[in-house]
Amino acid sequence: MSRLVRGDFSRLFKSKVFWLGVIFMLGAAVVIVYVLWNQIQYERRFHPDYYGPPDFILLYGIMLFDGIVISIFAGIFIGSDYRYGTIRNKLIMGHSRTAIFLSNLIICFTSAFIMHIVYIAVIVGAAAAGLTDKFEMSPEEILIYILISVCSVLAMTSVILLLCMLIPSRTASTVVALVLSIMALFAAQMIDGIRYKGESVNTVLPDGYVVSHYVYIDDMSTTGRIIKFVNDYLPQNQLFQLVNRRSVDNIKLDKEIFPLYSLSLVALSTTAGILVFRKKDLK
Amino acid sequence: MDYVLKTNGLCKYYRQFKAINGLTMNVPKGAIYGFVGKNGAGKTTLIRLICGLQNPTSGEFELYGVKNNDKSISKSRRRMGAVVETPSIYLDMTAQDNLKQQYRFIGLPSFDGIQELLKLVGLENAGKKKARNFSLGMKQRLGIAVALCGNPDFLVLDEPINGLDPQGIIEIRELILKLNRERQITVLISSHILDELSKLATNYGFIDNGRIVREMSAEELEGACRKCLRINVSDAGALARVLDKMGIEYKILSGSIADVYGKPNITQLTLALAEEKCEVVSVEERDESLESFYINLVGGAKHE
Repeated sequence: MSRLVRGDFSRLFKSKVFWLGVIFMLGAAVVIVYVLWNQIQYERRFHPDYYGPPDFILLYGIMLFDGIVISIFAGIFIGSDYRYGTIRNKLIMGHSRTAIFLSNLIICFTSAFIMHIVYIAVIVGAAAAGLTDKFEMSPEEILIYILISVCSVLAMTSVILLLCMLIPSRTASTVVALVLSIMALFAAQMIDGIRYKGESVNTVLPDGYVVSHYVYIDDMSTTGRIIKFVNDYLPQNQLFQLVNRRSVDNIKLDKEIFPLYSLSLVALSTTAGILVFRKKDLK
Repeated sequence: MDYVLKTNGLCKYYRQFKAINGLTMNVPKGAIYGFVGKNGAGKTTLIRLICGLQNPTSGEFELYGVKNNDKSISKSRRRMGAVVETPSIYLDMTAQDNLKQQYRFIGLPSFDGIQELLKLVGLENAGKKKARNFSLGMKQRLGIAVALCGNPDFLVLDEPINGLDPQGIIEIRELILKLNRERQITVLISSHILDELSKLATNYGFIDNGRIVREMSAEELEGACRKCLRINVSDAGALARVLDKMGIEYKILSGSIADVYGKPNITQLTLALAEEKCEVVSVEERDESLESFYINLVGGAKHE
């Protein structure tokens, strides 16, 4: 399999679509930093003490764009092997289908990881360079968030790869993966929204301040448990929750369990993918 | 005889459709095996099965003596190269980069043989031109070069001359002959362009409706397709005696009909037969082409 991985890596680093993906994530991070910087400058005109931490944007671009970019990349990169018929060469020269699938998984993971890190490097770098304010989160917390989000993105990538390996048309696989990513984006917001009952209560704090809280479905109820599980299990929902970093009232952000869910999704989609791909008739 | 490929009762069904239906064939080592059949006869399906792109529904095949359900079949496959349907090349790469990519997948330690391969297929001057800008013939030759990267001793070519211009056809033909003669590569070549195949093949397998209807050597086919005079006489025995005396090759088909090969002098033959009290009823020149042989073999009326 190492020969396959070596060959695929060589193709990856020459791939225009990969570098376009990296440039896109880089550009997205720069634009997001610029928007925050602009907002800070604007607010400071009226409130000189205004503090605009970049915590929210740490994973914001990842949540919005990663699924879409990886879908396009994987659809075109993996789909090219079908379109050009080069997947046949790999089989004819004696590589097993499992090895081909796993090699593609490694390539897609690496690409997603590079795009992820490029985005985060810009956000963290901008904060370190003083272009935005400092993070509210501690460095350890930032690292934990990054690691959890990497797992979420890898889980998302494994599902996208499954689609790309099972749909032999490059265009069809790209479109299906792309539509699914966009739907996941909206679904994340929708599923998360279901937890909100649509009511709010006011709490008077000891210092006299009144804080308004949204009321959420009880996580311990059956409905609450199901919604919470779905919300915690799906990678796009994990990213959505990580970006919003909510841990209020009876809504708990169990981010520690996210990597476990992500790894189980990787294992599930990869096993299913290999089993189906091994039986699949190729042309 | 050593065989590179042997299939035994191989079947491949797509739901109700039987693409390959109990196919048994043998490809001898060192042969150029012409795999002949009309469109949809099952040629490409068989090639897909051999290449591991699809799994047979039933039956089995052996590649270098290793059965298809044996785990070491993938090792046997390393000894083969194939171009199935369209050439399997990255269109966004140059010819050289395509070969380098294939070398990496095979795990060859250096790119030393690439120039030689490009020269072999006549693409040494392709330069930085991307494969997408190649002519069909160039793509086909690059596909063959890619298939040759692992230095295979069995090459499978599926309809390699489809869509090529006459010059392209000649180039591919000469390349195949060169590979067979100089590198002793066994070639399985599928085609429905029979005349072209007849310029290459040393063995033939005729496929129809997913079955091999006849396997034969080029000599046997030549014999079957030879020009001859079909003579209908009153006494085939007398005809045989006369032809023996004249030293002419023949084949008695019945008590009154014989195929006479070569070009006998008809007057002399008729006079000699008259002396033997044998009447000549009719003389008919027969020239069975490969096409008509094939149509007769698979039942022409069925395909009209």
